[in-house]
Amino acid sequence: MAPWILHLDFDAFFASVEQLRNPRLSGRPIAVGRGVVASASYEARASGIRAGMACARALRLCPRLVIVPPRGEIYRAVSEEAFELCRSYAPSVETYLDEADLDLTGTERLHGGHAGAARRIQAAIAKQTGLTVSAGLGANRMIAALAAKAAKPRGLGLIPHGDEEAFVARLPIEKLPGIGPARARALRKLNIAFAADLRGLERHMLADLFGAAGLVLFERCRGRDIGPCRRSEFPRAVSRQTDLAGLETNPDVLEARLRSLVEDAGRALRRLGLVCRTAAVTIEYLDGIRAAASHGLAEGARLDDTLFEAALCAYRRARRRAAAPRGLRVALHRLAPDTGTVQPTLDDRGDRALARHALMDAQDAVRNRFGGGALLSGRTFLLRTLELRPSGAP
Amino acid sequence: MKAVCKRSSLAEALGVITAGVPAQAPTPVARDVLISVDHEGLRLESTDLTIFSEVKVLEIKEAVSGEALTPIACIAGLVHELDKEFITIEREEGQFGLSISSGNDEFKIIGHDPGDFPSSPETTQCAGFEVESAVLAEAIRLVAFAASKDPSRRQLMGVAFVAEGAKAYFVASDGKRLAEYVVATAERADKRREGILPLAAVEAIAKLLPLDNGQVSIKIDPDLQQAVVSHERGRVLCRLIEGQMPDYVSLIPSEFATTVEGSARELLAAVRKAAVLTTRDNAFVRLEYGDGAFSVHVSSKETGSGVVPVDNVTVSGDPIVVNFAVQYLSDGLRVMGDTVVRLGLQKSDGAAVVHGGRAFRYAFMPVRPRGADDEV
Repeated sequence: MAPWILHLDFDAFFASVEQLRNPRLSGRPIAVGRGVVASASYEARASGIRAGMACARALRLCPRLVIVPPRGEIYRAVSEEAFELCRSYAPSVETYLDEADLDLTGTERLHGGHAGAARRIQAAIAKQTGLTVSAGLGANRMIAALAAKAAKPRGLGLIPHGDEEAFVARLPIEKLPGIGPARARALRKLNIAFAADLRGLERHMLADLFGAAGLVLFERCRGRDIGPCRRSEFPRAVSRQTDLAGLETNPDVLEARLRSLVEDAGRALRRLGLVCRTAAVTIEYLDGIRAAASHGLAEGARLDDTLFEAALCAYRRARRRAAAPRGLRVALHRLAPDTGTVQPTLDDRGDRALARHALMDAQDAVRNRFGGGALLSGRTFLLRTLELRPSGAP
Repeated sequence: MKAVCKRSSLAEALGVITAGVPAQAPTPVARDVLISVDHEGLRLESTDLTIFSEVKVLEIKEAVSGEALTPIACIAGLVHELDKEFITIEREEGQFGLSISSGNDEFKIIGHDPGDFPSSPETTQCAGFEVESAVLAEAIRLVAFAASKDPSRRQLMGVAFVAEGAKAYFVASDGKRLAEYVVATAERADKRREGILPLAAVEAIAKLLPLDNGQVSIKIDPDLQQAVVSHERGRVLCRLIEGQMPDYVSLIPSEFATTVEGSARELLAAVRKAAVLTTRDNAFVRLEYGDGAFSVHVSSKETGSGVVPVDNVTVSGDPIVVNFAVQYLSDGLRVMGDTVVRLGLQKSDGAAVVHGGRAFRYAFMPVRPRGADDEV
């Protein structure tokens, strides 16, 4: 059975999310980053701004540039929402923050052609999130990723089986995965500028030059990639973070923020049909110092109250300084599929536990329909009152 | 200070005192062992300030009075590796370091001032009760596994020792299961006494108890929040866990829809066979009784399904289908070994109980599906 991998890559992901959330930024050159550009909108790219560039230099290139601080928790939530769609199209999906690989092998009859399926997924993601993705189809992950890059923005690149070698041959060596600036310099000194040139080197020569990575490059410059899609049905962790800007020291407010993050992460966890066995908390201070702690759970948990209890234990262990934190992050680790069962306690017989799970599911249904703020827990209600408080009021 | 003792006896004694020491001791003193030689012989002591363990080393050839304080890890490691029958431990006057020799092997290990070792706290003078050491060892073996490992439920992270009338009850629970063992005491208790001993202390006590049939004295003082378990070979003194264990015992049912009687080993074997097809995330088996046949079922989307009929059991009562976590079911059967047990089952929302004779009860809750479907 011929392998077919679909690679999806959000177009200018962070910048597009910011433009979507703030219509005033739409159509303007914007960059997301703190000190260094992490993502630039296509309007900014027209001025020569690229990811990895210093923000100061980007501003010199484009004085109209708007620089927005990154908000990882939002990007992660958008990405999870989008890639969840992919799981209904492919048996094996490997996801990253703004990219995903879907193994479509053997799904031709189900989807009626891979290109059609790819277009349907692109349209579904656009409808669900308002963001565009570029897609690439090929015999392996590398070819699919390179095809998606070549089709940016919002296009679909398809490399038919047997054309991989020819497609890769004309690519500059820097485009090949595994070749960074240092390796590219070393290869250019040998007068090797394109993947086709790289094929002139014997396997042992590449191994001498780059060790084990050289053996991988030997395959890649021929359009071959040995890495299959990992059968990862779910992410390694579900995390949420918030930027506190070092302005908050009130323990009640900080714990309310923590609860809010746990509720967001918990909802994502339940949407993915998972339970978690560890809650980890990271506190970042203005001086760059980070404190982290985690709390293990005896059994997989999915209820906000249980997750918060664990996160609060970790938070109290991590919070050793009185200084105001700059950021707070909650990550739910050791994920496993939710078995849909309850292990009752001796004094409960399971009725209360079942009711708590049913209530949680009902809350999720309300929040999914009317937004996360439609229902607030007692602890997070404090945050709402702070938002409503006029500035300057005590 | 000098002592020449049998290596095996010293290793055994070190095994007892290290049982109560956490792997990552929070205080420096908890990483040390106090070695004392006096007219009573050679004695080892350790503490993490909540549990004091003290044990005598038997079979000493030579003894000169004195004390030494040295890291447990060093001395335990050496005693484990040395291969001659006798070991000499010696501390020279005016030095804290310790010399350990056995055959031609000689070691000098770092020591601390024995005065730094905390004196054992005031010991309760309250009345206690006595049980045979083998009985206490059996009680601990039968119930300690059911204690909670969850730090957020501290009052369940131990074994409750209860003396009432002429009986002593040993109970452990993690909230979802409970193991109880009842023994007769040598004398009637003047009043009900109870306390929860932390698992680390229970582990140290279990190691202290020799296999012969000496008597063990157990004193529980809720006022001092202290328990002292003494045997002629040594003693363990610990702080009780604060709080009370919920009264789960009264929730253990005495009537069942279905009762299965048979060898614990055969039932366990059937559960283990079925458990091969479970996964860590879906570790449940289903017990079914219907049409006169009793069987263990397993079904997993990831691995497959199976049925294990259990023939050599006597079943009475109604047809039943009930799901259990493999660990909860197999733990209760495993501790019963070869004995015949009676497994009482209730419809899906009631506790099941393993009865092992009149003294042992193990209650555990079935797994319930969150949906309307009765199958897990």
